[in-house]
Amino acid sequence: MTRDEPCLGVPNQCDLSRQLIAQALDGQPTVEDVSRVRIELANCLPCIQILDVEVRFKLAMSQACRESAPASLQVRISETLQRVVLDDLDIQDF
Amino acid sequence: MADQAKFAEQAMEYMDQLYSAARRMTRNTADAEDLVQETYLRAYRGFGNFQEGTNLRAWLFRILTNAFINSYRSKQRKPQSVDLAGVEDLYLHQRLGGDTKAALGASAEDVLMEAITESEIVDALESLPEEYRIAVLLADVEGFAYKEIAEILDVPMGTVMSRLHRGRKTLQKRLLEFGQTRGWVDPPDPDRAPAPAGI
Repeated sequence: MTRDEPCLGVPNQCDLSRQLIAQALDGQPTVEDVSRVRIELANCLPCIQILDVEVRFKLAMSQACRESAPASLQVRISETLQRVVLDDLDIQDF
Repeated sequence: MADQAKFAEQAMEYMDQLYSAARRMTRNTADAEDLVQETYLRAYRGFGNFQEGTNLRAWLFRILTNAFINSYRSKQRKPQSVDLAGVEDLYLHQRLGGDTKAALGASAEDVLMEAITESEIVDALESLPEEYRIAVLLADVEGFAYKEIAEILDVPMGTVMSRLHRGRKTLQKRLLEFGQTRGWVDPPDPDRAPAPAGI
């Protein structure tokens, strides 16, 4: 398969589509890539499955890995920064 | 040049994102807190050199990543570099199609993706070798563009894409293994020819 030919669902021939779909989901496609992905999705069932799973996978990753910083850390860093600012001011006063 | 007096008001809003990333990098709470604190101190000291109007979030992540690699990690034994190039080409969509999908009737992707808990996804990510883990984290959790990741990690864009491809492939393989242990996914067919290598 060349870059200009859709994989058309031929087994094990979707690797280039997978790369393009990943780039599209990462927000990095060129105009040419967008057209190519559209052709693949219109003609290749495995490519639709690739898109579906990649979208779910990305969403699940994003949701699972987010957490809030502990309030105690926020306080600690704010206090540390204030102290550093004051130390810097003291140094400048000399 | 940025005004150091404005550092806190501009930078503190990114603390949750930096902490989430630090948790995945260090894999424990205490080290993550120390790493984030060190990041803010380094950033404050260097804020005078930050070019106002450029990407503050990416700049903070670059400091975080450098602090992790140069400071935190140097306290540990340097992890053995692992190349994931040889990871078998197995993807969720391939293994969840065909007979398994037909037998389940409903979408097998639904079954697996909804059954996997968030902590299992986190465990799978944290089990990745460091260079792949950080690339996947920056792209899939933090949503940075390839160019931004390349600048944060100071590697070429091609390296970023390669690490992402291999890291994601390994992650999906681990989720598949999880599905196999629960009986949601058929074990690999030894007679099936492996797919051609990817990127």
